[in-house]
Amino acid sequence: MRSANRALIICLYLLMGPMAVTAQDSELEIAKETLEKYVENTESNSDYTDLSEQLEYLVRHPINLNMAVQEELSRISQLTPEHIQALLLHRQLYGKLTSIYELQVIAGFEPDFILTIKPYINILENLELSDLNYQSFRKNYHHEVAYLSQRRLEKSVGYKLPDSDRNAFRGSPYRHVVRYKASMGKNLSFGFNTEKDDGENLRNSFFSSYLQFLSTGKIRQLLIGDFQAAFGQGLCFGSGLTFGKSAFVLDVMRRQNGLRPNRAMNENEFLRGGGFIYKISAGIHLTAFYSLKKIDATTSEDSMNESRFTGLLNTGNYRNLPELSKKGILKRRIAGSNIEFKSGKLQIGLTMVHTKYGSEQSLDEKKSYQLYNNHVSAIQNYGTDYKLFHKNLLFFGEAAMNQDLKSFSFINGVIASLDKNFDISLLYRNYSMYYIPSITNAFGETQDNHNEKGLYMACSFTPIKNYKLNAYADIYHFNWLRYQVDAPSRGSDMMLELQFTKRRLFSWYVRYRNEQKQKNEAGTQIINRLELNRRQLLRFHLEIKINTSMTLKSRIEHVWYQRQFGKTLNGMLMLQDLQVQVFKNVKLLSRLMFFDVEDYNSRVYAFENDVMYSFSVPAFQNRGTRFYLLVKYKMNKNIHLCFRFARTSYENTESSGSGQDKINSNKTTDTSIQLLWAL
Amino acid sequence: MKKKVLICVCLSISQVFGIGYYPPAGARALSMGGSGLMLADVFSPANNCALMTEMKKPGIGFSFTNRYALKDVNQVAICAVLPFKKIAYGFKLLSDGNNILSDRTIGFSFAHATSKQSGFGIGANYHHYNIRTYGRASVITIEFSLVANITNKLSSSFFVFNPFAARFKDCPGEHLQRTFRMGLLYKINKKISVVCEAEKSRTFRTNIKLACQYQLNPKFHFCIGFSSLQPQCTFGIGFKHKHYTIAYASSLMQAAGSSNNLSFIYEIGK
Repeated sequence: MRSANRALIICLYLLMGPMAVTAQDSELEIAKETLEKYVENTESNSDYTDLSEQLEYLVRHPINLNMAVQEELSRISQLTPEHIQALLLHRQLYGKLTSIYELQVIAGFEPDFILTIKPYINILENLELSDLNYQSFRKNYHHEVAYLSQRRLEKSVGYKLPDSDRNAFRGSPYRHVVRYKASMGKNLSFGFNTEKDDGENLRNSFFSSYLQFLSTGKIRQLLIGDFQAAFGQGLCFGSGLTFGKSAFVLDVMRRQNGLRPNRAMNENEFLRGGGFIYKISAGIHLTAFYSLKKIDATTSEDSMNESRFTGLLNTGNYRNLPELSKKGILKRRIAGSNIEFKSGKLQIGLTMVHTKYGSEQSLDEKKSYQLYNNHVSAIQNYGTDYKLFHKNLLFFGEAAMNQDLKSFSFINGVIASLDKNFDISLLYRNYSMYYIPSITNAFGETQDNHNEKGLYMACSFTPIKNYKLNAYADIYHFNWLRYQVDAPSRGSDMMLELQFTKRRLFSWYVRYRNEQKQKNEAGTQIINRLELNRRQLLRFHLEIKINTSMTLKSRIEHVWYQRQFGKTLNGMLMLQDLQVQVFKNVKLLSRLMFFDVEDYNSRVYAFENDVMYSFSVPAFQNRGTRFYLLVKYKMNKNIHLCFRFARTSYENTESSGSGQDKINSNKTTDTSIQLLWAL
Repeated sequence: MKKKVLICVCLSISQVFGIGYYPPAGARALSMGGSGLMLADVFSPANNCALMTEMKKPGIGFSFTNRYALKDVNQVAICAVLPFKKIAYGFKLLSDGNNILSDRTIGFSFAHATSKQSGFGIGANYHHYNIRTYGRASVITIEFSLVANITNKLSSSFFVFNPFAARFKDCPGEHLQRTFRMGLLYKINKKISVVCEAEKSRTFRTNIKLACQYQLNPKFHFCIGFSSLQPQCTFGIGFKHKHYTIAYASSLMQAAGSSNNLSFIYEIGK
């Protein structure tokens, strides 16, 4: 009976296969498209290299669908508990999959959906980690080097100041980046990144490197150099970039656990030292790490002439004397450990982190909002996290605290597939105002992960074929004052999106977002009272794949920003993308955009294609047009060349930027060239 | 100074008329709230040159508009299209105003259908402005547009007028505005189609135009539309007989009154 079912299934997918999944797109390209969709839906311009690397890692080390347990499958963000449950049931009934196309017979695995997860899965026996030896080193050696040079053609004020001026930029206006990474199969990898920012002297370049061993023995991972560490939901400890609220409304659970090399170019937001993962027994792993790093900070001296830091900086710019004076002046030591228990459907982790700064933080008594901020030099964080699968439900959460009970903070969530067409997620967080985080990246309205409580609810509904409705609502409250908020405050955030997708050839979505948040009333008042600020966004986005070589994207977006005691400010954007594969090895990506924004608060964001492994989501204000052209040239199998030219012309201002970055021109022109060599 | 005044006058006229910076030509476009972006007819060189490739036969069109019963701001448009298999050439001549205040444009355009689903168009225009008291100014502009037939029923288009913000000669700092337009056309069935268009230029708010066309039979069509810039409702009717088409459009704006348009089209060949 079982073999008969198997035969039927194989026949089915052989019949359906050709119309469905095509292997034309390279898997890395699909993964990059996925990341682009994530980035496209964010409204911040960060260094997304880290996330790009994580996806690339998943592509190079796909999850074996025949072997993976629930927890491993949940690392693929597109898989809902319903998918996981259906896959496991299928495996239980019919045995191992013989091809990934067999997934089409499982409920919920539509051809388009399989295409999106295809880069991260396989059904082959995973190649086991092997012993290190020269032969295998030569055989599996893979390396990649990328060089990027960028320059803004218009010089800012900082370059025009005389050398005697403290604020004069000390270096050339070029930005140079070199990335190198090498790996030997799964066992060994090594890499370094170096960056000279525009305006910086070559001596102040950033350098970061790592060496990583992976093995099947007792020591599962050994990582030396610069790295990121994250455990549970990132409340006790979590470094590295994560996405918060986005159009991927169900994706609120943190999926990264453990150590990973740092590949981002941010000078401050990583750990420097080493760590390892030790297998105590089957299902029990111990992770320990230590980091000693000098970070940028602002300092002041107290009445006893003792130096205290007043704030941490993460701009990573060292272009003039004032910026150089803040470079690496604060030592930060972090030691941490995590023990993880995995048993069937349950995973539990315990984390302990000790953070010590070189000096105590200075507390400005006038700034009441800092009352509960960190002003001690040493912080202890303890946390416990869990993940539990139960039928179509995935529960997750974490609790964390410092040494005292009143700092107890927690986050709990559930992702549930109520029907094959209807998924929901719920998440409640309560971060105490007494909680002093070390480095965290847990879900929240703010990145501080303290002084916040809120409830997030989301649903994703497919009412009819090709249509999808995504919605979320987040209601939150801050128990204590915040920067520019002189009283306990509240806010809410709501999004509604209707998507239409037809065989990856044509798609559109309409999105409405409404954010309300309390802030001090604008202007100088004797006693600041709070006013409710509302920001609404309406976007229509259209994407058409004319044929295999041409894609058009259009977008129109309007933003309204309304103060409770003020007038409404408007921002609008209209853009058209044209992407053409001119020749087999040359691709052109271009954009023409118009924006008209009244004020910074009504600014608009737009994702932009950039050179390889680079993403940008700049914010636009004032009124003007922007044009960019990106040329990707594949010289041969191993060498890629990219060139990008972007120009913004402002119509209602004769300058842009501020301070030393001010450009006395109504145009800004950015050029980039990148060479990538992979072997 | 003279030219600044001249430009201000031109802008304020556009604002008062609620037509935006890129006024449509032809009765059918006017009767659809001014949303000419998705219409393929003889007036495409003036509305959206990329659509000229959808024309089957060469043709010439004449359009006359009287705005708000003021003869001094009448508009005359003459357009011609010469289509071939995949490419098409177009010509337009537009004239607004009278001998005191006038705006005349002559333009040539080219369109190419890159595939069954997509095409593009480019055009070059020469504009000449004249205010008797202040003087004259002229400027050359270009325009570019893309069209995509997403499905048999759905099409989209993007149009940009004057992307380089051409400057007036001898008048630094003064330039004609860029205008961006985007639109969608959805054919509900063979007879009914709906259009949605957004237009934005520097001075004006986003102008949203919504319209519906009903093709009663091959000879008669009716259109209604709405434009949001200066809220106005439009209505139109057209009749086609052999090579000739005659169309009438009327619009009503609360602030300024009604406008009327009459168009004639002659198509050559069978």
